Amino acid sequence: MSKVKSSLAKLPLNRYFDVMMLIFLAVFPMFVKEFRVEMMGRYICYAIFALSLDLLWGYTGLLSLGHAVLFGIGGYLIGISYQIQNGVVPAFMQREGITEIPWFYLPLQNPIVAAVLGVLVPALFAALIGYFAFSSKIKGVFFTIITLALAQIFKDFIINVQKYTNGFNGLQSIKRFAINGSAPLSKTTYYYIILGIAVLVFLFCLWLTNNRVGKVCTSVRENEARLGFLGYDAGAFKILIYTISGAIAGLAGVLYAPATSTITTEDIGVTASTMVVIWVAVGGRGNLTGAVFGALLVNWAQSILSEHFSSVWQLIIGVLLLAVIYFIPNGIIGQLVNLQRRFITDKQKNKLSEEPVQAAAVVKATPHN
Amino acid sequence: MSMEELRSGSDILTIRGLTVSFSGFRAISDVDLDVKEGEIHVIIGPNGAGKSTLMDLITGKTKATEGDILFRGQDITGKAPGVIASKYHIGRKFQGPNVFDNMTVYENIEIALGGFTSIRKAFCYRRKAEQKQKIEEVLKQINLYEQADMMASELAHGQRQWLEIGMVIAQSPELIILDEPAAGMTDTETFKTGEMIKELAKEHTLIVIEHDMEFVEQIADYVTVLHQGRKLAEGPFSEVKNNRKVIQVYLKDDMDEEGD
Ligand SMILES: Nc1ncnc2c1ncn2[C@@H]1O[C@H](COP(=O)(O)OP(=O)(O)OP(=O)(O)O)[C@@H](O)[C@H]1O
Ligand SMILES: [Mg+2]
Repeated sequence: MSKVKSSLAKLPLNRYFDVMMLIFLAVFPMFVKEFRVEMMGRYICYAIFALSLDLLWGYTGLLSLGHAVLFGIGGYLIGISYQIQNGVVPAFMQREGITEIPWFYLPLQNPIVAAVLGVLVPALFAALIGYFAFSSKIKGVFFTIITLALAQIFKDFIINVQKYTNGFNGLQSIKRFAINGSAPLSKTTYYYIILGIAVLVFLFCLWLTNNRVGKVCTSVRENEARLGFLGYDAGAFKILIYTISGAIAGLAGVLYAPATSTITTEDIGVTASTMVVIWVAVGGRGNLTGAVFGALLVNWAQSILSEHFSSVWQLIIGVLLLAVIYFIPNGIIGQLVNLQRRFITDKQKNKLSEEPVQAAAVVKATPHN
Repeated sequence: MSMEELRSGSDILTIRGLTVSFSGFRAISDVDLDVKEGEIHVIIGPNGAGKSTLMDLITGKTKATEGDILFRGQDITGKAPGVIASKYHIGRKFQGPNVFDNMTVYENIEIALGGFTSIRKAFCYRRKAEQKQKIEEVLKQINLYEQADMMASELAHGQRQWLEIGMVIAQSPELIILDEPAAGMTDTETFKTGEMIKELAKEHTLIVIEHDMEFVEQIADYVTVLHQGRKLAEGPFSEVKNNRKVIQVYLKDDMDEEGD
C-alpha cells in the first residue's frame, strides 16, 4: 500500500503539467476566434516535431541541426498531393513545359497515400543517414555537422528542382485533407484531429522512453562507451531511434502543411532546424513535456510579440531566449523536474541518515543465493 | 579447496604471447597468462605497468598486435566488446567509476541485466518478478538497496564503485574483471569490497587489479605481477610478496617517489 502512495509521490511533476496542457488545448477553441485555432493547430504540429527531436537529442544525446529536412519531406509530399488532384498538371510545372504528371508523383494523387509516404519516406531517409553515420566510428559532433550540411543541401535541392517543387515559392492551397472531392475539414475539426494525433504521439514517446529501448538510448547519452561492455550494439539503437524520430518528424510535416495550406523552403532549411532545437532547449530536453511546452510557448511568444511590437520583436525574442538558456540551462520544465528530484533526494538522504542501523540490519538479514 | 587443486583446474582464460604496441611503444609485451576456473586472480604492478591495457585487450577495447586470447579454448582475440560481453559473458568494471550518471541506481543495474541486449529483446523486456528479484538481490549485494531511487551522480565515490560492480554482477558474467575496485575508498569500504569480492568468487571467476597490498592479501588466490608490459612474477601472494625481483620493482618505485 505504502508503495503505491510513494510511487505516486514520485510521479514527476511534469506529468501533471501534461494533463493541464491537454485540458487547456482541448478547451482552447471554445474561447477564441477561428484564426487563433488555426494558429494553435500549427503550433501543436510544431510540438509533435519537437517531440521527435527530443527523442533524438534529449534522450539519446544526438543533436541534429537538420531535423527540418525530415519534417519538410512529410510536408512536401502532402503538398504535392494537392497540386496534382484530378490529374491536373500544376501551373509551375506547365511553365517548365511539363504536360503530364511525372510518374513518380502519380501515387501521391491519393492524399492518404501521400500522408503515409510522408511518414515512411522520412523514416527510411533517417535510417539510411543513421546507417552511415552510426555504424562507423563517427562521434556525436560529426553527426551534428552531417545533419547541418544535410539541411543546407536539401533546401538547395528543393530550390534547384523548381519544375517539380516550385522552388522558392513553395506549394500553396494545400487542403485540410479533402478526399475524393469532399470539402476540406473545418479548421476546428482539423485542430482536434491534430490534437488527437499529438496525444497519441506523446503517449507513444512516453511508452518508448520508459521501455528498455528508451532506457538504452538514455544510456547512450550518458555513457555510450560503457554500453558496449554491457553487450549492447549502441549503433543499432541509434539508428533505430533516429528512424523513429524521422517518422514522427515526417508526421508533423504531413499535419502541418494542410494546417497552414502552404509549405515552402522556409520550413525545411537550417533556420527551421535551428528553431526546433531552440523550442526543445527552452522547454527542457529529455522529459517530453519540455519539448511540447517549449514549442507552444516560443511560437506564441513570437506571434504575440510580432503583433504588438512589429519592429523589434525579433530582438526581444532573441534576448528572452538567451536569458532562458543562460539562466536555466535545463529549460523551464527541466528546471521544475530537477527541483522536485532534489527535494525527494534530500528527503531520502535525511531518512537514510536517521536510520542507518536499521538499513544495515536489512542488508545483513538478506540471504545471498 | 587448496591452492594446488585450484591451479591444477582448467583454464577459463588462456593468454599466449600477447603483445600490443602504440606507435612503437610496447605497452604489453609477450605476456602469457592462465586464469583458472573459480579463482580470484589478482594482477599487481606499478603505475603504467600495462594492467589496464591487458584488460582492454581481453575485453576487446584494444586490438592486440600479436598473440592469442582464449576463453575456455575459444579464440576471442580481436572480437568486438559487445560480443565478448554478451556471447562469452566477460564483464568488466573500469578503473574509476564508469556508470550512467543521470539515471537512477536501479536503472543502472536494470540496463546491465544480461540477456536483453538486442533491439528485439529490449523491446519485449518486461520487469517481471524474476527480474525484480535479481535486481534487488544485486542491490543488496552491493549495499545500495536503500539508494535504489537515487541518481548515480548523487552517490559517494565508493558507492559509485560498488554500483559499477553491481552492473557487472547483473550481467551474469562467468568471468568478472575488476580494475582497481577499491581505489579511493575508506578502509571500511575497502574491507567491505573485499568481502563482496569473496562472496562473488563463490560463483564466478575474477580477475582483480589492485595496488593496496593488504587488500590483495585479503582476496588473492593467485597473483601475477606486471612490470613495463612484461610478466615479472606469478604465484600465491605469500610467494610473490617475498620475490626478490618484485620487492626490487616496488622498492625502486617507492624510491622514485621519494626522489620526486
Ligand atoms: N590507447 C593507448 N595509446 C597509447 N598509449 C597507451 C594507450 N593505452 C595505454 N597506453 C600506455 O600504456 C602504458 C600502460 O598503461 P596502463 O593504463 O595499462 O597502466 P596500468 O598498469 O593500468 O597503470 P595504473 O596503475 O596507473 O592504472 C602507459 O604508459 C600508457 O600511457
Ligand atoms: Mg590501470
